[in-house]
Amino acid sequence: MIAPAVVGIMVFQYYPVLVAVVHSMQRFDPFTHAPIEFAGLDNYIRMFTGADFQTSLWNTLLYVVISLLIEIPLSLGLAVLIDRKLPGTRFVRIAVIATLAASETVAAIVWAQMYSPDQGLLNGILGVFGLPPQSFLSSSGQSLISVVVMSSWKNIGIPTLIFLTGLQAIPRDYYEAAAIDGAGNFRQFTKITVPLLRGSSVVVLFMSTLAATRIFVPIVLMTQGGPNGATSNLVYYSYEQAFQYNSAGTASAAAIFMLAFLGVIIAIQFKVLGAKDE
Amino acid sequence: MSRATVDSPGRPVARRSTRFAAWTVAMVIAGMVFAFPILWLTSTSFKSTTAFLSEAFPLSWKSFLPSEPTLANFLSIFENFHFERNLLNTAIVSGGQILGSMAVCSLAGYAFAVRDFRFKRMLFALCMVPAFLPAEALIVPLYDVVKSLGLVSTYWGLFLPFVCNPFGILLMRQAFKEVPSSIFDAAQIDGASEARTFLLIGLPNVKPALATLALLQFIWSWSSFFWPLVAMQDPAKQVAQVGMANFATAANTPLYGEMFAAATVLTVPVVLLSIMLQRYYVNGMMSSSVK
Amino acid sequence: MVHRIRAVETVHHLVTRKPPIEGIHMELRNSELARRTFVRGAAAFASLAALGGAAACTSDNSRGTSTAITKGPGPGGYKIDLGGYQGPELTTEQITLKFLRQSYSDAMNARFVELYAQFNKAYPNIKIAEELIPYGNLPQKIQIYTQSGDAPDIMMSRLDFTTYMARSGTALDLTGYFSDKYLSDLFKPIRDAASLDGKMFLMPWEGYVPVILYNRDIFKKAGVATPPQITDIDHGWTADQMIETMIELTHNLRKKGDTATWALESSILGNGGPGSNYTQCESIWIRSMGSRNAARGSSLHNTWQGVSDDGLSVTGYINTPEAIAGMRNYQRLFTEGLTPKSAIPAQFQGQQAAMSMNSTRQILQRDQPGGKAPFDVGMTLDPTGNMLFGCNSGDAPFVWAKTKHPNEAAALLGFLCSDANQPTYFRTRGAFITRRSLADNMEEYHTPDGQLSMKIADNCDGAPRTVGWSEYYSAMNPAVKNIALGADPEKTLNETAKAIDDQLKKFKS
Repeated sequence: MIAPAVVGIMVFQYYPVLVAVVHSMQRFDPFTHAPIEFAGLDNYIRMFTGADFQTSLWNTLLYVVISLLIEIPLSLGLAVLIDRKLPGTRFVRIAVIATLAASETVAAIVWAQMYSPDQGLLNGILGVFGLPPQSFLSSSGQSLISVVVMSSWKNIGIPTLIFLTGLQAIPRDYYEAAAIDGAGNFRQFTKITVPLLRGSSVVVLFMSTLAATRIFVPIVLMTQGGPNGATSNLVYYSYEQAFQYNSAGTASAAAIFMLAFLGVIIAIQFKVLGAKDE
Repeated sequence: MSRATVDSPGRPVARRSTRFAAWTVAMVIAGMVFAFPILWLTSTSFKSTTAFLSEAFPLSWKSFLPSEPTLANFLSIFENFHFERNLLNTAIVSGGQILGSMAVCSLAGYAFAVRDFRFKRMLFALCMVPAFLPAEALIVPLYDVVKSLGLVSTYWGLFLPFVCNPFGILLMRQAFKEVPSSIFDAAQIDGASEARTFLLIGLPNVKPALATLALLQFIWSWSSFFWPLVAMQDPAKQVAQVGMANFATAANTPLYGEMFAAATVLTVPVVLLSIMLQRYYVNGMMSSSVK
Repeated sequence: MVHRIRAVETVHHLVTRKPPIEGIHMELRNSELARRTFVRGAAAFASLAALGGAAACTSDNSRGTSTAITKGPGPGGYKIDLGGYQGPELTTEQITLKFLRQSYSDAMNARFVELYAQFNKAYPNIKIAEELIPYGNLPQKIQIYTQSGDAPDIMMSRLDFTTYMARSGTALDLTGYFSDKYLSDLFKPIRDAASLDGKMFLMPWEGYVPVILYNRDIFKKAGVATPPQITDIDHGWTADQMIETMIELTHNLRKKGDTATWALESSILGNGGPGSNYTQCESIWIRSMGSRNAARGSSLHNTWQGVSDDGLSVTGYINTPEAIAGMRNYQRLFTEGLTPKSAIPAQFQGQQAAMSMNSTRQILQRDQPGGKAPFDVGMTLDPTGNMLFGCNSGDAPFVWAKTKHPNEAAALLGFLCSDANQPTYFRTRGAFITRRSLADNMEEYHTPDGQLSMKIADNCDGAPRTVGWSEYYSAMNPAVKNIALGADPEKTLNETAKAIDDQLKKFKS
């Protein structure tokens, strides 16, 4: 019964990885892109010592941390609001689902227009409130966070829905009992909601981490990794090495490194949370 | 839950209605913030390229709403560029990906959840690891695989690699675990075949998870760009995302009107579908998460 | 392991390759042709084997064997006018030619379909299958295709990639397929850009002639004198004059309460905005500070040349004092608020910018149906440093070196660029026409602007000659963008030069 899945995964996932592992230890003819000789760990050494790679690695961590800082509280807040069926929450719910449905390409095109420092809508709106215009994607300081905001907007739907289903599974009488004991809304939230959402939180953490590590389309379409490499991440680095710098070996090494890197991050998260699979 | 959690009984009516109004306003604003990019996209698709270029700045109501709404962009993408062909292709590919992954992932999920066999844990881990793979970085070897299978420029080549999805397998496994095992045991005692048990007892019990899987696969395949760009070489079978990107470079000035119209055509149906289906997949999410 | 798989694939590919078999068939009719095809097949064998790493010994002299093309009936002797094509008459077998290009406007796409139909009528056995993809993805697609050993017969590239396409054995040498008369009709700098060591590898079917376009109405509104009206290329304005004019323009417009109009539009090339297309746009600021007439090896000459003679080193070429001064000028456009720091679409067309660093395309097209600008457009030269510099890299198709149908692919390109067809292409797309005899016969080129365009075209250069142009270009674009956004030009250029040199090392062997 699992044969189709296992075969599919072997053919379409593991085989390319295997190829990448082999490629990552080979030197390539820059003209033909054909492997010409075994290079040992040269590609890895070249990659680790390169400033571009170090920046990309650091940025990848930033992407993950900032994304989690934005997405987890925001999606939890949205889920709580939607769950409470306050007036107007249907609207929020529909809006959040809509973001889920927009494609990344479309989202990047629209957000790039909004972010434009010279004529963008966001600066127009800031101007209405008397705030100075911001450079958004055009400054090293703001570009990464701008990409994260856009991508969090795009991705917020999934964690919100996961939290929402988690909330809906919490028996109502817990809250009623707490209310009778005189616990206010805030105490109810910290003492009941948060602990009981542990399962959902793990899934959210897992999925948001994956999504944050793999941000790619917004970078290609909005910043091309700039300015000053401020928005480049590991995926983009690998893509750049493969398609702009004719360095298939380094590109593969980056892919393999990323696989290990993600594995470690997820493992740490599970360890810290003490979560068990089963 | 009722509104009682927010408004404790016995408060003055006036204060209640103020709070009601305040919440409504707050919610609508929050909703607008999230929906804004999509609303703006939709509204812009009714502007001509010239109007889009000249009215974006300085900020006025015209930056948000079309001053002279036109359907020309929509007519152009269908009449001049036959965007409907791209849409049909996307639909075929998405359909294949949804059906394929529902079949493959539910089978695997069922086996992992309900059956015992050798190396089960190891095989399950094996199926989960690909979730960490950076797909963009592995596109060249993947292309080699698809090419050697003779699937380049076929619909199959576009969706088959993504049918076995780790998240889908996890989702389905969790869903089958939720089903009380006594049901499966009873079926076995009654002498039902494995296939029968799976089809008639297993599947009907995991409908919400299937709906979730279908929706997620739909969203993923509907929005995929890079893979079809690489693996589809027959323009007659090219998908809509690539077709849309073509508008950006088609002429001396990018055809923004056409591009936004295409983006709207691509986005709005998915939004509507996700809204209509939410009852199913919101429940489906639950089984994957509350465990 | 993968290594071996590739070698096996290569052998398999060879066994199933068609040309030698085709050759045997044709032997009955034309033994000369059969031998040629066989030689081509053998050449391909050798270079393929070299790719696989199996037999690296014969690779070098095998390249270029393809120049020995048997002349066919020549112009006029085919079933349809194939332009300058002079190769053998086309096959009578059923074949399909695959053509990978970017999607154009619908009018332009329709034009291709129309031309294919004409070709197909004369040669009903030759089917043409197009693959249209977004422009920006062409290089990736070509890379994946050629890497996998199976690519379309004709693919679209750009003249700045000529060296790479030729040296990597990706593009077929087209020289012998076209008559000398046809080749010498091409504007020389454009032909040079498409050629390596005198052999033409890309078909330069449209030229890029960089100029500055300006909107007379906005200048009038601001009360600023328009840029110099000129008829020859020696009297253009300097970077300082250009910047002064833009400062005055911006100042006057702001004083009048106009906060939306810019002096210079955001670049619309590539991804748009600063650093989006070094080849065609930003290199002007650096390379114009050099001089092609200065002594070889001098700083001035190096600045113009852009890369060492062997094409493998840029330190001392892109970070000379002249180059740094050029980038300081460029940076002023942004620090003085003369042009936007981000990509904003089509400001010039939307009348939100007074000037555009662009090509002659728009001005030459303005009197054409649909191309007419709603305002009064003027044209002047790009800023002159120590010389007038413009890079003529236009899009250009090439024939895949390993195609099974080299004759037919070359003939199709010849047909598309015949005397009758190339002008219509030019008119629909508005590109600069690449052949002098055609330009002489077109009224658009008899206007003062048209005449000036031709003079500029005669004075343009190709991109720096390096096999690593992709690396060069990919590193220069973000560097230029960083400078636009405030990075120190000297430091940035020094670092970038080092980074590019590092990348180019891999081509040394």
